[in-house]
Amino acid sequence: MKFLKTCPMLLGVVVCTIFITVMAILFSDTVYADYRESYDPATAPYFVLALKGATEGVFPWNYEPEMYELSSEIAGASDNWNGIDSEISAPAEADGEEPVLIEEPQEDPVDISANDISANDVPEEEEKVYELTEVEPEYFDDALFIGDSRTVGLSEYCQELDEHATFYAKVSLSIFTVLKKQFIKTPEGEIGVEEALSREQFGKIYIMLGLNEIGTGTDEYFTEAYQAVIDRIRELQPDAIIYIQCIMHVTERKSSVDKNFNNVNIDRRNEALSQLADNQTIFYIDMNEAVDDGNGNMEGSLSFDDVHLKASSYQLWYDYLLKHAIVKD
Amino acid sequence: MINFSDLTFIFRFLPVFLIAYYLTPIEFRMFTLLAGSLTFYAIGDLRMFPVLLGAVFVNFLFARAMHSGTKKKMLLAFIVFLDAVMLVEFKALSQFVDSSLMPIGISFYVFKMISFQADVYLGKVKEKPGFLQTATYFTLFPQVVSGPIMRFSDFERHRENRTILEIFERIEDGLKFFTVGLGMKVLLADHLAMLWKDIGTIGYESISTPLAWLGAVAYSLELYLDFWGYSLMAAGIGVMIGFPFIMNFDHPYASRSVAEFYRRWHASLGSWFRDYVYIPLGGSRKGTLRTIFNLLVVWLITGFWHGVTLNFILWGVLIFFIIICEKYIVSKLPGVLRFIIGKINVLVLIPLTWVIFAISDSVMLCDYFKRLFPFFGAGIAVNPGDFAKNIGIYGYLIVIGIVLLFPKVYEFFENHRRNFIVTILVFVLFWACVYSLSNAAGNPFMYFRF
Repeated sequence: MKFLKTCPMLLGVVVCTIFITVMAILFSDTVYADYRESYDPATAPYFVLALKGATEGVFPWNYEPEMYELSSEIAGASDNWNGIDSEISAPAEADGEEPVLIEEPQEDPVDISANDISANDVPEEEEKVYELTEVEPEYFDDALFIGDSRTVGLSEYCQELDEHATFYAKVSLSIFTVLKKQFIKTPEGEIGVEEALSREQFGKIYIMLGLNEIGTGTDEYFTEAYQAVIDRIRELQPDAIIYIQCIMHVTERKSSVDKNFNNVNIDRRNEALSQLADNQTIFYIDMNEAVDDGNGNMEGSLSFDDVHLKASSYQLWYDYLLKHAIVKD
Repeated sequence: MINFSDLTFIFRFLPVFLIAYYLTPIEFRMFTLLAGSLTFYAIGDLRMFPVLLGAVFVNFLFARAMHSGTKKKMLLAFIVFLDAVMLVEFKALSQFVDSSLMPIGISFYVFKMISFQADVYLGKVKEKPGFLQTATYFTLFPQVVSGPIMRFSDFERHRENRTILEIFERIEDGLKFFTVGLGMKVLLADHLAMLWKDIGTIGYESISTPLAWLGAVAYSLELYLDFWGYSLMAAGIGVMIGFPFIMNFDHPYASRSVAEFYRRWHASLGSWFRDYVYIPLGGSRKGTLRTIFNLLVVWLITGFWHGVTLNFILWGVLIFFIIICEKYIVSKLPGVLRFIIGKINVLVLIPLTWVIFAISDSVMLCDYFKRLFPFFGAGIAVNPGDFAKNIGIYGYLIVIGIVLLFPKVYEFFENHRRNFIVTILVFVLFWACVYSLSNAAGNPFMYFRF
């Protein structure tokens, strides 16, 4: 009692620390398993797992283990789950699953023939060769720009473009969050990209995403997510020209010291992104040409923080867009 | 870990140290303190650890010789020269060769060493300096990184906590000061820093005039809360281990003149310059011209001490000019006018001097001032909506920061910190900080979202 009177705060801190640490240890394999992967014991005490969980609303009492869903589906012997299972365990080559693997080639020809069918489509609808041409600012009247803070900057510091185009841009947006976050302001409140795109049709959709997530996942994972976003946009906007803008470089100062945010990583992902273009309705444009220093980096004088263009440099990007547009008759 | 607002410091180093310290028998606690301080520094900057050790040994030997020997003046001149050269050399090296060549805290521990030598010379250190005591004073871990530049006389006021209750009472009290400082740094200063960074990202030539002023206010608050917060954390740790509370910031923005501002801002540095530079040069006792010269010397060195680039020298000279004007012109004005001009100097000129302090590139500095005072033409690609956007994001931080400028707010905490409700609030503040730090921990992208 005397202790409690002398140092109530210290006691509170010690008790809380022990409690949260014990929680983090007890649930480290279940509730906090996701956070444990990125945890580095050298930089923080163990209890940060629990606090990180709390930030995302993950607590021991509202935790729903994914394992249960998976096993119940498997118990239901759904073909889908078996398929995924066989794919996942394929490298392990579990004997029991071989029959499933054998079945796959039977499905493959179907896929191939499907590809053949689409290939057969080509002669029917001739592929046009489109060239990038120069356009007037009015070209952007029915254009939409989707992107992260760099696109936010474009909207804020390129007045002419902002007057013509629509922007769905948000700081820290990534290809993984672009369809999940509700950030587009409307009179009725904030809505997500999917809902906004089902309300209004655009003629052109420019996307620049990929910098925030440069340190996450593999290139394949990133490209698949990008493809999925494009597919979804295509569903909602069947007639729009989709422009995949390359991920803008960072400056040499940044690129040479940062293990994630460097131009080697950016170029690799850009290369993958360029493969997503079909040059019929989806185009890849390399706006890095507009801000290049001659060595594959963003020109140092164009940026203060080595990542974003300075306000006065956005014009270069806009000029590039004006000169590199697709015009369909 | 060398940062007080690091979770590994708060939850590992500090508790382990405190337990070790208080489990040590009283007569050996100074050993534990020295060992803890050296460990703290070595973990933070192992490469430059020998520099600290070397400086400690050399200064100890000189102090010993001076205390007992003759030729005191020569010894003092020589060791002060050595210390000063070491400081200048490392500052120059880090500026012109490689910034990692700057030993952590060298500006602070060298000043401590010089003040110690002067105190020994002046006979203020009564007992012959022992190695343990001297080395502990120089390397004391709560102060070695960024001050306060505690005097040896305050170090001697160290009192051992003897009973268990006394120990816990002191730790509790120190923890509260520590937490309030942590909150200022983590929840306010670190977030205000992002506004200043955003302004840089836009480019100074492209900010609107209102945003330029908002930036000056935000940077001033950031600097104040960061340093005041740090000083409170350092003082709090000091209290935990039995040192007196060292006041480094005494509500400078409530001052009525710039001269007063700098007696209350980073007070341990200001009083160091007064006692070891200004007064030895003759202070104000040798006529007007000499006083002006002495002040110029003080402010030139102060500028240089903060950094070797031109903007710091300019900053120092500007403060010098303001102080001279106050001393010889403003002080002769009638009371009300003096009060108004003094307040304008503190609340308007000081934030402007911080802008000079912040921007080391002279072209960029000119750009910033052209936007603050847009008489020299318009900016480039200015978005007039930038002020509204940023006040929307950072407005609440600025309001809280401004509220903290009023002395009554902090004094309320200080006077009622043992009150149960205040204790609970400080406890909540502690976990709010830890929560914020946890989300940044191991996540280098926390502050780098594009």
